[in-house]
Amino acid sequence: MDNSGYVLISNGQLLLSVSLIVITGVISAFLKLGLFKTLIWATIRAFVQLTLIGYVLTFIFDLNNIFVIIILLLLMCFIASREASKRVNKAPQSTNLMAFIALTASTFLVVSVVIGLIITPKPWYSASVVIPIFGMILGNSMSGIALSLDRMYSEVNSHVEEVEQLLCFGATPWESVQEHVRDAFKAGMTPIINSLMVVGLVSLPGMMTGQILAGMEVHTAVRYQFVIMIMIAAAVAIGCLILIGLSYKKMFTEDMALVQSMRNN
Amino acid sequence: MKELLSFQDLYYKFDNNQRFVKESGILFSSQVLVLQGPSGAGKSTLLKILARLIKPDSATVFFQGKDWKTFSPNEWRLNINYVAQQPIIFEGSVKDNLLLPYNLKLVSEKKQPPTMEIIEDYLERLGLSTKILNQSAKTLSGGEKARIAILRAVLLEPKILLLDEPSAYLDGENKEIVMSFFNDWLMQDKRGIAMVTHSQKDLNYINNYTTLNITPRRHEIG
Repeated sequence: MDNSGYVLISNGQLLLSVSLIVITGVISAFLKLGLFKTLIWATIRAFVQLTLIGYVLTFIFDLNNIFVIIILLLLMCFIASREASKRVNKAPQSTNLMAFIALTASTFLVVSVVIGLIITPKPWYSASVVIPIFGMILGNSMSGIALSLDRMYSEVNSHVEEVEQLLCFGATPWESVQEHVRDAFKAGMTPIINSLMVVGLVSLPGMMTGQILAGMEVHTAVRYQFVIMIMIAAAVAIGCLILIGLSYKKMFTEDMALVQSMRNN
Repeated sequence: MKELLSFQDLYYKFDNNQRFVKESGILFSSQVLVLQGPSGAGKSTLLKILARLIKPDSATVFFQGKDWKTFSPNEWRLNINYVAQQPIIFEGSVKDNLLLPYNLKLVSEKKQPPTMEIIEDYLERLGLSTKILNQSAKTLSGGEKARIAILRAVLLEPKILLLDEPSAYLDGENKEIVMSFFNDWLMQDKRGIAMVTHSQKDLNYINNYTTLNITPRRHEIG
C-alpha cells in the first residue's frame, strides 16, 4: 500500500461488505425481531442515497458556483429545521420558522469564520470545503437546538404551578422561566461538551478517520477535527441562544400569562 | 363599605367542551368574598382569571374604580395576589422562600424586604416556630408549607388576597389560627379577600363575609 494515497474499495469489495448485512439479518431472525425486511430496505436506501449524493456533490464541486452553493446550503438548513421541529414536543405553535432562522444564522456565522479566517480555501466559497463543513456543523447544531427547545417546553410544562407562582410575585415572563431556559440551554450544549471530553479517548470522529484513511497526515487531520468540534460547539451555543430567545416569549400571552396550551398537562 | 374589586359578566369557556363560567360579583373592603359551589363549577378558574393568569373570553373588572386593563399584569398580580391551593415551595430554606419575590425586578424596585423582626412576628402569629427559618423548605409538613406560602403572599402587602382553599392542608387548630389571622389582616387599610372554600366551619372565624354561589353551567349541545 502506498502511504500517500488512499485505499480504494472495488465493486467486489463493496459487494462483500453487503455480506455483513447477513450477520445482522441472522441476529434479527434469531431474536425474532421482525426487522429483516426493514433492514434490507434501509440498506438499499442508504446505498442509493449515498450514490446519488455522490453524483450531486461531484456535479456541484465541478460547477463551484456561489449561487448554487448558497441555495444548496439554504435547502440543507430548511430540511434540518423541519427535522429539528419534529423532535420538539409540546410546542405551543409550529417551530419551523424559528428553527430555520436559528440554524441558518448560527451555521452561516460559524462557517464564515472557519472559511474566512481558519481554513481559508481558494476561492473562499470552494464547494468541496464549504459544503462538507457546513453539513457537519449543521447536523450537530440541529440536534442541539432540537434538544434544548424540547427541554424548554417540557420543563415549563411540568412546572406550570411554579412559573405561575413567580408570575404572581410580579415576575416578568423571562424571570418566571429563566431557570428552565437555563436547563434547556445546558441540555442542548451537553452532547457537544461530552464529545469534547472523550474525543480521542473513546471515539475517533468520522471526519478525522476519513481524512486519515484518505492519506492525510495524522496531525493535520487532528487539527481539522479540533477546529470542527470547537466550531460545532459555537454553532450549537449560538443556535440555542437564537432559538430560545425567539421561542420563550411565545409561551406567554400579551397579558404576561402562560398560553393555554402550555398550561395543559 | 367601600367597593374594592368588581367583576361584571365575567365569561370564560373551558377548552373542548360545553362548560363555562359566567359570574358577576363585588368585593368590598374589609370583607371576604366566599366562592362556593360544586367542584367543576369553575371557582378556582375564577380566582385565576382575577389574578390574570387565565384570560377570560369577556369581562369588565374594576379595582378601586380603575379598569384592570390600565394596570400592567405584573403590577396587578402584586396588588391582587393569588395563593394556589397546593402550596408552591421552591428550593432553598424557608427564609429563601419568603424573600424570593424580592429578587425579582418589579418587587425589588417597589418594596423593601421585610425585616427579620417582622417575619418572626408573623411566623408566631401563624403558629410557626422561628426555628424553621433556616430549614430546607421542601422538608416542611403540608400544613407548614401552606402557611409559609400564605405568609410569603402577605409580606408582599397586597390589597387583595385570592385564596384557593387556604385551609385544605391545615388541621383543626391551625385552621382556626389561619382564619383568625385573615380576619385580623382584613381590618387594615382597605384590604379584601376572595376565597374558595368548602368548609362552613372556616367561616366561623371571619366576621364579615358574603357568599357568591358559582353554579355549574353548560351550553346546550347541538
